[in-house]
Amino acid sequence: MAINAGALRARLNWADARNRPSPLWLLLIASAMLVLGPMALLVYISFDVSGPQEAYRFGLTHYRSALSDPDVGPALWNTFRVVGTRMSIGFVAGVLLAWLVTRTNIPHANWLDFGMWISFFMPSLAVIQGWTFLFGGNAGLANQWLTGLPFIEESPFDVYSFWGVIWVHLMAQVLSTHFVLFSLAFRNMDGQLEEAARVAGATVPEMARRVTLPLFRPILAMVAVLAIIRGMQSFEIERILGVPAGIDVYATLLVTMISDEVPRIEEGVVLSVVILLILVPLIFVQRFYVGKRQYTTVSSRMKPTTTNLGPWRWPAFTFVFVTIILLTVVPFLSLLAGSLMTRWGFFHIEQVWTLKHWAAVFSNEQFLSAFVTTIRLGVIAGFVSMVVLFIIAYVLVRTKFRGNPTLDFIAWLPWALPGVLLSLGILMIVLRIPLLHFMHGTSFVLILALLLFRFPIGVHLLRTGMMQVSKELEEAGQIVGARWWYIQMKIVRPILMPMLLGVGLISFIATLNEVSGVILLASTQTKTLSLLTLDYLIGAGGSKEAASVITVVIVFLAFLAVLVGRLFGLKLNA
Amino acid sequence: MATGSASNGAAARGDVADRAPAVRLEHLIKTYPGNPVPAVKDVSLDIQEGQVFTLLGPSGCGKTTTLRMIAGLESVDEGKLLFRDRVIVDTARGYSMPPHSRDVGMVFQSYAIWPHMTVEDNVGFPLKVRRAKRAEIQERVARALDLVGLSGLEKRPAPMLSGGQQQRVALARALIYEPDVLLLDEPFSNLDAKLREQMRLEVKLLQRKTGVTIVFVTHDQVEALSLSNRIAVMDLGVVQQIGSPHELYQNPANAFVRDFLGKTVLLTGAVKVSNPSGQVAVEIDGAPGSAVFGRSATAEGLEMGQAVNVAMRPEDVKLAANDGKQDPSTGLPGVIETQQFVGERTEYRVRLEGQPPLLAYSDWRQSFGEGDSVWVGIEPDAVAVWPGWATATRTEDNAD
Repeated sequence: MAINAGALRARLNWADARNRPSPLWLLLIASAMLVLGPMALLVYISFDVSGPQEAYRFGLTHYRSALSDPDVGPALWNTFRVVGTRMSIGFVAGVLLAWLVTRTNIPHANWLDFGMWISFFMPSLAVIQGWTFLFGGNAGLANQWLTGLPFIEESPFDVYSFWGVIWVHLMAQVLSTHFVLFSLAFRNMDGQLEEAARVAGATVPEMARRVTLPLFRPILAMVAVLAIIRGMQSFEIERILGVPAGIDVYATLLVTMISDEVPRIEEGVVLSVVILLILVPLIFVQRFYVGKRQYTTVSSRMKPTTTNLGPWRWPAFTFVFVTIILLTVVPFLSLLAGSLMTRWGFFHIEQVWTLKHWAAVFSNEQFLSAFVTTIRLGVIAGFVSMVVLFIIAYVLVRTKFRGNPTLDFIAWLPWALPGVLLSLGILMIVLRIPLLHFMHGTSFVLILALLLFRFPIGVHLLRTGMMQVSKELEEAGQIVGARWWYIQMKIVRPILMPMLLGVGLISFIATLNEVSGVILLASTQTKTLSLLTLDYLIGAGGSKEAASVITVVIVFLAFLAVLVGRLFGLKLNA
Repeated sequence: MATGSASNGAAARGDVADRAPAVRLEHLIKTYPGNPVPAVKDVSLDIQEGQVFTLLGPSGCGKTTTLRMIAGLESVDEGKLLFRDRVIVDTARGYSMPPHSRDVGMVFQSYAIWPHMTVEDNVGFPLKVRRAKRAEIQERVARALDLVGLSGLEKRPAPMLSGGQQQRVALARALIYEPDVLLLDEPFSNLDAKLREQMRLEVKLLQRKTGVTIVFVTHDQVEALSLSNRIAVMDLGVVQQIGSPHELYQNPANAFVRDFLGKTVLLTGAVKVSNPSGQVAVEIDGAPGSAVFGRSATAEGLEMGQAVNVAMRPEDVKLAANDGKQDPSTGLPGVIETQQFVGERTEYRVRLEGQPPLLAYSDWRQSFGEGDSVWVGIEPDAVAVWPGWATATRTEDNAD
């Protein structure tokens, strides 16, 4: 075909149109600044050795002083110890529990599965206090009973110790997370692959070695990396149980450095950059496996083959059942009891049970203000995440934007970054950029941080949802004459409503539970319920009874949110 | 192939010279990013008012891309698109009308019935977008549903519709704002065989009732042949031939069109006699003394002794019992290799000397067993004779 002048001009016009910066680039840049900006600033500050009112000067002084700080070495060692221990135990226990529930003929498997999922949603503050009430030194209820027994002289177990920290880790997050991940993997596996091995003449151990294990190797690796990243993110367990026993991890040390009376900000920044350096390779390993996930999860609706436990069926059931009770009922009941006792762990006094803590908390100015703040932050953060994350997910699913791989990575990244690090970065931005000073300690900056933390899960959920909504449903709207915004409001939004609501609720509940991500950003005016709980637990004029009252309120609000969600058609296991 | 489409287009334009075509495509080109081969290369078509016009071809031939460019769901890289005299796309002027302003109706492959709405909401949506009054919407929805035979289902939620009902809702929704052009994107592919036939008939009747111009995309040649006024056969992003179903079936412009429109039996042979009017007699390889009569399929004449391919449809092959006394010039000897009873007919695979196996149909009255000797007769009018190169586009097995 001959190219005439008109066609040539058209070609040039189109080339222009393609090169014109699309508004999507703005979205990408804004997200990148929100996620990468704080991290970049931390690295930048860590090398800045200039004095006040001076221009930037590069140097390693802060690194020298931070690494020679006597607190830093032990904190890194403790971090390593805690992460390694909770991961090893969690791995073995997680595989065992998931295997028993999904791949054997254990009785009432569905109910056990449900129970483990419930434990997944238990706020860690509640679990910490529940176990403290039972095993917190000599005042611990269980410790009191046990020392009453013959031959037991002193309290056999103390949560204010290394193994106490590990135990509460297992109860609060580790077991339920590992169970959920492994059970999903086990359930998605095509049983026919194993059956084929059996028919081909393999014995059960041979099948496990040659077929089952190789199939799961990528998932095992992914969970291992995830366990390390998650371990690095934990804060409140170490803060509440570890610090009194002299066990500081990097996160608790970081918060101490920043909020000390004489803040050691530069050292804290250096410490966070060191942690970032440890995380970067893990982030890429994790990303690699996430990218390959299509290969590893074997998609088939085939029911996996189950192992016959024979006489071990009921012992196995008892084991899993007791685990679930320990994960859910025990900590919650002891928390509730604690909130109703005159004095934590004292049974010999005249009046053991009382409602006075509830009365005191509910007439406390601080509590009421934190309550209002939390609800307000939760609702606004929930709503903002719904809108912003919907837009990002929409761009990722529906457009052929060239920046999509980058946007995808950026939206995923906060998932791998500890909340303390992210919030320290945001705090530094607010403090270092004069134009942004006004944001210091405001709800605005808290909402921004809360939104940022919800990027990964929210985008993931909405993206999955949107991929199930056929593109033709939108195109049909276009054809019959509707504009983009009208289609989104009348067609896409109603169809995606359960997903959107889910994202809003997750954001709301996370706001209730969040400690490490907001502790550096909140002021006394914007303190949330979880921060107030922490104050009561570790502060000088603290009250463990009041803390447990507030925690019961948090648990109650979380369940209320889920109930409201269900009323509007939310499905948890969608 | 380009000449074929141009002459056919000109002829069609001549029929209704006083009116501009309902849809006119001029040199449309579309390339997807990341794919060096254009999905649509220089497609020009005229679609006349009131026609059922079909874009037919295998998957990946560019038919759906062409339809989506007409709808505005896919941008045009180069070319011009007009509805009557209205310019819809003109890349030379950098103009492209957004899909919501084009006023075409479309039925999608998945029907795209909005699952959160009732039948009434789905069908009334286009009028709501156009800010029609409530009473008017109600009345027109009732009329549209009546048209597609769904009266009384107004309040039914979309997820409670069967496949056929969803299709009718999709049709009602596409027709309620009385578009001049209705686009159908493989609308029957999700229906079972029986329902498909019924819906085909209904679409034909609907077209007659409303007079709407239909542009229809399918990969199913039976669907195309039975439903269309005109068909454009596409392959590799290019229109191979445009014509009426009969023209295409009887006079395919090239081997692709011939093979795509139906199963073809191909035999090799040499020209025995050729006369200037295009009549040819061919001696089939492996059957000395045989003579199959046919027409030359090319404009150039065929020479005596030239190697040729002889093409026919399986239904034009007649099988008879071989008593060993047949005149060799009336057919070819063969042996039944396999037989398959498929209901209305039996399909035989017949082994011939020096030829790939041949596919033949016979009705249920006639029955041969595997291994039987048969006499293969060929209807003279049904045979097209091609120069030897034409086999290159096809597998050697006639019975696949």
